[in-house]
Amino acid sequence: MRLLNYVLTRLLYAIPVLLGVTLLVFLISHAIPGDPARMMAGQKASREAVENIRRSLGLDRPLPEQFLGYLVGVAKGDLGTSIRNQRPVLDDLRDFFPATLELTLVSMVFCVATGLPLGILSAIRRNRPTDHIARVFSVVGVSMPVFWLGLMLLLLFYRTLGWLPGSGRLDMALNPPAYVTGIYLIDALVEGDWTTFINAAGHILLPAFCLSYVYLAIITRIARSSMISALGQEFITTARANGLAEAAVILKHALKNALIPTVTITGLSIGELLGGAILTETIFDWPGMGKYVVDSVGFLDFPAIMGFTLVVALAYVLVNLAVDVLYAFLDPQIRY
Amino acid sequence: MWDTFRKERAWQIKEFFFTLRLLRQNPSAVAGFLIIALVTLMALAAAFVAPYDPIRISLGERLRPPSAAHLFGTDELGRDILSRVMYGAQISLRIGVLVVVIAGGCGALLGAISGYLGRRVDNLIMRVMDVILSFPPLVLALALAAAMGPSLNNAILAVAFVMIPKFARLVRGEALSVKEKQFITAARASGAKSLWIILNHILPNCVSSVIVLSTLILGETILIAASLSFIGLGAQPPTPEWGAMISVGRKFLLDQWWYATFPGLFILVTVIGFNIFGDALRDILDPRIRR
Amino acid sequence: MAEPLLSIRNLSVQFFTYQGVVRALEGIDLMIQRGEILGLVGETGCGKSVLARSILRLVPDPPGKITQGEIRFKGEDILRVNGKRLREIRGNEISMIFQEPMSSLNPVFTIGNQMAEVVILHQRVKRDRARAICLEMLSQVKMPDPDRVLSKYPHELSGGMKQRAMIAMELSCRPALLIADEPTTALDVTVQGQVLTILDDLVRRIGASVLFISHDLGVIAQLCDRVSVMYAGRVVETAPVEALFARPRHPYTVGLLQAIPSMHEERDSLMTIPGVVPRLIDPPPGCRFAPRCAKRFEPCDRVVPPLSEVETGHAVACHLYPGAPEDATRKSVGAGEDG
Repeated sequence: MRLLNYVLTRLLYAIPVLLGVTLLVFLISHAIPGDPARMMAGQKASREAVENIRRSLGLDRPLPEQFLGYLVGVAKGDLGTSIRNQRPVLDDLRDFFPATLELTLVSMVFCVATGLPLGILSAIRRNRPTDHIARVFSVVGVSMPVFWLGLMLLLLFYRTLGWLPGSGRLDMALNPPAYVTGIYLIDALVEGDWTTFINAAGHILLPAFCLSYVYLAIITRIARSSMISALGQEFITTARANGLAEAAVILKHALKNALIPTVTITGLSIGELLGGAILTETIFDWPGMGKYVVDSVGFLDFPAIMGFTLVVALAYVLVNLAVDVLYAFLDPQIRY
Repeated sequence: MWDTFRKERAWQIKEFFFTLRLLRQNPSAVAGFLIIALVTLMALAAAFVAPYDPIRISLGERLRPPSAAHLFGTDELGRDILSRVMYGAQISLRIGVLVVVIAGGCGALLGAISGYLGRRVDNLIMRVMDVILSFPPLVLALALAAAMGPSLNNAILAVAFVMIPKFARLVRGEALSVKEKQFITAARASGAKSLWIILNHILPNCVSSVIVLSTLILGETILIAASLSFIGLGAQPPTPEWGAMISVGRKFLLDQWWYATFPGLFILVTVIGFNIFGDALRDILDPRIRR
Repeated sequence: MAEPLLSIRNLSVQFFTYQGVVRALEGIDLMIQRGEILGLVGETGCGKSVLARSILRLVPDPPGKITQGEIRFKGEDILRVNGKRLREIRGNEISMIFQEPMSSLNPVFTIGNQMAEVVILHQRVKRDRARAICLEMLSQVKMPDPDRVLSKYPHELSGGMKQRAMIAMELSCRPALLIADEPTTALDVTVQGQVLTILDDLVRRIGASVLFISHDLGVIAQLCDRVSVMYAGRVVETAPVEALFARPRHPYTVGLLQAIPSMHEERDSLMTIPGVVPRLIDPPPGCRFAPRCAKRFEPCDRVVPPLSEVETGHAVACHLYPGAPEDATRKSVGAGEDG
């Protein structure tokens, strides 16, 4: 019961945040630029076109009225029209979403599967060689410019060694698998198409590793420090004094406590993942939302940029909400 | 009341020298500090030490690999990359310091007001901070920079905006804990106004944690600013900003590896320096470890 | 005389730190008979907790190390048994309860989960049977509404209830020896009495021996059969409880007892023992209490006084009471039967 209350409270609290996020994006797109109409119409649009946009989007109305209109529009899924190709921005984003989802999911799975055990190991073997290596790796990770890492990876694995492809999701010669989820790895498996699967896997390897690098460092670091903190608590001594095997002490008693801050920070860091995706997709020509927004910047496609920002921010809020709920599952003390 | 004030100051000075001693003994602090010092030196002395003029075009020497004459090679306009990287340090550090000063100043003030005044004001300010923090940092900076127009100064403002909540949260926390202490009550009892209390009592107590945060944020700022320039929203050509150089260097990556490699290397090392130093400083200032 | 349940001989524990080697325990001799409650009293920092943890080898290594000595439990030297046997003993034949019930229980698991874990581990029963045993133990410690308590988390219980749950958990496997490290120090005075009564009651019913550690002489007087006094890492006096309070011998013990303010006396100020506890990194070579002792004389600064018997069952480590020779102390620090 308490858990349900907690979830409902968090949900309720999320609503003003979602509104606030929408408001901020609105302010950025409508209040900051010198002439929002020109931004929406494009630098190359004629005077007449700009005035048309101004009227049709109601950009000559007072701001609060504009915001209401904007809000209604967003609720209906209207995120503006891309200057580049005159399509609704929402449609563009929908097209490019699966590629980003695939990249982000693969990266997250890799990071958690690697970072958590690495962090735990590092905590247990504190101050021994494994720990020192892990800590160096951690610092380098959070200091790494993602776009540079991608370029270096390309230099090494594509240019010098020739082991891995340099761009895209699949070789030009191959056709993408039949659409089930839009995630090539899954779709290829569903079809039983091994060639495509292996090819897609090969293509996702470098971008996923590049994207994961920073995230992995963050997870390892927090897993390590929360594990060390948990292992220093009195109840660990109690568990040992009761005769539990060391493995049970670590994996049952310490781990669950260590997971709490780890999950929180991991969830918060998904923002890094989303930000990094922008850069990674650009470097590896990965046709996802990140590359879309960077291309849009090149064209000064303002509606596209703003549409992207809003979608990503809203998604981030919802992800954090999910993390909050997960947190309540792990820590009984906060269910009040 | 003046007595407590003076005693606080004397104690703070003693603590400062103690901190310096601890820093000297800590290997990561020393390593981080050395990196920061070297990069700063490079930035300050660029005008004197750089072998070539960073914007001097020399079409006869385009895209030369690293050699004795050009340690880092040349770019597509024949400019010496080493010199450009050195001037780039100037730019990156300038961006970092400006962002920290702007975000730190605004954020600290907001946080202090929020923590000290409490209730409605606190609620409102923190909700706004929450909204800002609900954006992935690069995404928000990107949107702001796009709206303001691509330029280095706009990028600085955009990144500063993104960093304000981090300072605000930190200072608010400190303000909350200091608020209950006795000397605040004493000050209020003798009629001091809220603003004076905030400026003279609350903010000085936050100095050490703000310094730690500033160091770490400096590193993060350099990364985000470079990313913005890479995308095309920050520094514009011919400014020799590291991220912007990599953006161009990318086109020549496969055959002219040196172009994109060196600027990026400098980003990495500089940010590592700030991060290591900031981490070591945080550990040293942690009251549990200090004794 | 019966073989003691627990016999600690010449135990020394050192901590290797950056500032130097801390000699936390030196040559500890201690004995506990079956069914008796031995009190261990001394001020903060004298090594009581280190001693308690050494018995179950819970001293973190690094930086601590048991450098010499033996601890015989039912005849076995438990300092030298292998990991498997040690885990059999822990929580099962020797149990331990700690000072802070707030932090000694894992906040993310229910009381029932943590209690049952111990029962299942040592008694190899199924969940249902384990639950029944836990319920039984909770009613033995007079826990209100034991059924609901099992599904509660530690932070939902008061300090006293948490400590009772700890007692129930640690006694669920009917250990022969319970080590209680200041179990009531962190509790309210009103609750202290309740918990102590429950503890006393339960251990006597089970027939367990107790090593009861405290700095509170009043509690020791109430509960214990015999007492050992520790100072700066050494045992300085051991005696049956009435004998210790009526005829304290060691100057430190005398000072301790005098420091307790009495309702019947009229004084202007509290009595204290002058000086401070020595640093254990470079302790004084002879008797560690010598620097503060009013009765100190020639050998005190040079020679460590051995623990020797002055009357049956009463031993002191002080040059004022040379007493019986070394090997007699081995037998006579027992519960007053013929030596």
